[in-house]
Amino acid sequence: MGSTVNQSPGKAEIAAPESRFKGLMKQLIRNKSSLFGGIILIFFLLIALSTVLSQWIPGWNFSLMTHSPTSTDVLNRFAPPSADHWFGTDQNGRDIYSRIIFGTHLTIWIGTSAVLIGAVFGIFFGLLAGYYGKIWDTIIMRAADILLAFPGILLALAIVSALGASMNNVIIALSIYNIPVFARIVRGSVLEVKNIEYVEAIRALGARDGKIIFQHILPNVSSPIIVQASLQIATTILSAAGLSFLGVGVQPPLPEWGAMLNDGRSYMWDNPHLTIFPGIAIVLLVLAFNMLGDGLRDALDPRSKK
Amino acid sequence: MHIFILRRLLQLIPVLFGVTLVAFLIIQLVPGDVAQVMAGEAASEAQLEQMRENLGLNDPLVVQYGRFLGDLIMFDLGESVRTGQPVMDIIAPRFIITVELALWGMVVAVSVGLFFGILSATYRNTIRDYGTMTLAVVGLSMPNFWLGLLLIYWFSIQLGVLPTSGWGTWQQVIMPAITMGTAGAAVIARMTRSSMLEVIDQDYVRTARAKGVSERFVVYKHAFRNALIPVVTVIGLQFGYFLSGAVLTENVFAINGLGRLVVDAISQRDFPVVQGAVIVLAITFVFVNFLVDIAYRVLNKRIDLN
Repeated sequence: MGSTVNQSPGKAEIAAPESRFKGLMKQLIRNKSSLFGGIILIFFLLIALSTVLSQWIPGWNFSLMTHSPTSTDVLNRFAPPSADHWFGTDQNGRDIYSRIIFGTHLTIWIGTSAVLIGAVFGIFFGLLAGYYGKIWDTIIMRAADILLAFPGILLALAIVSALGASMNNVIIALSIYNIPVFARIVRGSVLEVKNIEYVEAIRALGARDGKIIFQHILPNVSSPIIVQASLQIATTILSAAGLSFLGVGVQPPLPEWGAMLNDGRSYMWDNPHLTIFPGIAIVLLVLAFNMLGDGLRDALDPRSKK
Repeated sequence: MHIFILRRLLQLIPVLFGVTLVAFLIIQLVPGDVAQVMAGEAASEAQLEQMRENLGLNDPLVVQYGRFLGDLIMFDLGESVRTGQPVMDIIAPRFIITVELALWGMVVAVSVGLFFGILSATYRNTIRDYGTMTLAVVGLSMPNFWLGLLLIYWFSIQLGVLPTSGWGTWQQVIMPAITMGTAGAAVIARMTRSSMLEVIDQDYVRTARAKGVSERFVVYKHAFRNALIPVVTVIGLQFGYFLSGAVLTENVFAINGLGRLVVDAISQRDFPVVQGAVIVLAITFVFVNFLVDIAYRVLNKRIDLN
């Protein structure tokens, strides 16, 4: 038993939280993948923040948009990229650059909130299944198997088709899609640490389940959760864009990137810029989360060291 | 082995049950009156009553589900509320197209993925390795529908060498197969690389090298064969994602498969068709995973015996 502790220092090490955080940051910066991903991500987060703050605080205008994202200009439809319209204009004469800037906070919001909600429920069910085992384990894991039997965006597609197409329904659908993913990971990790000596010792000392779970088990299963969250945000953003592209996700005129691609595809023959720029935005943001996730995994999971 | 297969088959039963239950319950998520939603605003009360009667919506939920299951076992998925055609007849020919599409995507994913994965592992930490792995993470981060649109732009619009849509001729297969296979190729390349590196570091491979076995032989005979086991699992999982990826790919290339059917049925509020298609895709996925499990077991055993 003692040997398991020694073999996986990342899991069982109980260092002061602050120094652990500092150490992690150092490793992330040293790792080229996560450094690059982190920089792109900060860039996108600042864009999103500028839009949100400009909307919320009256008189504050640090928005990076050069035009209104929704105002149309019929005399200036399909303008190619120029000094005035950096990415050109779309079929209604709307400025594509400003629409992409505005869409940034929508995409980040959908991706992070759906993963956060999915993670909270997933962690709860995963802890229940892993810690209490027995009937809880059977019921929860069978339910997870069932939800995971719907491949990829199929489950989200089916849920949104019933609930109706809107941004909130997309978030609900994608949250449900994320729950079993986290439940499985958390359960697996809980089973790994549950029987480590110190947890058993604490239990023997008479600590309550709640205390054991929140103070001792959860911190030790946090690494795989964090890694998965980052990778899962990437997948979720792709799924959300896919739903919008199919016309069952975020609805126009909201400039969600997938919806913009759906708009642009009909005009691709003569005006590819409608399709190219929103696509690049999706790739960059998803890439950022994927690279950050890879870097986090290298830093947090000692088994996957190259 | 037989016992293992039998046990896995028995485990499928609750999952299959659950899948049908989820698909059945999806219709219950529809806000308001389902009959009204399907029949449209203009429907008269008599028409609504007729529709409720036809679909058995007046019965208690349990009775409805029982009938749904009973019909399903007889391969009866109900009728389309739009055309009155049996859902099974609508789905069957399209299902074949989707499976074909998924198989072609598989061909691309496996061949490209294995090639680059091996390349990356054998030239570890060289520019080829970094280049390949960077390409892989970009491939993972790209929405497949956007890749499809770009391919159409280059090969159909600019070069005029491939048709933009349809399914059947070899020219029509190329772009959809690439669209489907790219993300899978990226996943397989990463998996191949990491599982090969794990094997390359092991004692017996080092021994083989020390014995003077040629590098090429070491890579293909020892490292690759053993590294293949986790790769097989990933390939199987990817097949499921291809089934759901088909929803987007078929939409981009106007291929009349199951994925396009789902989206069309959603926009027409034809819930029996949506349910039927979702069930068929999910059950296919469950069985593919079952086969992968068996294959994994068989491969593992061979290695053990060796």
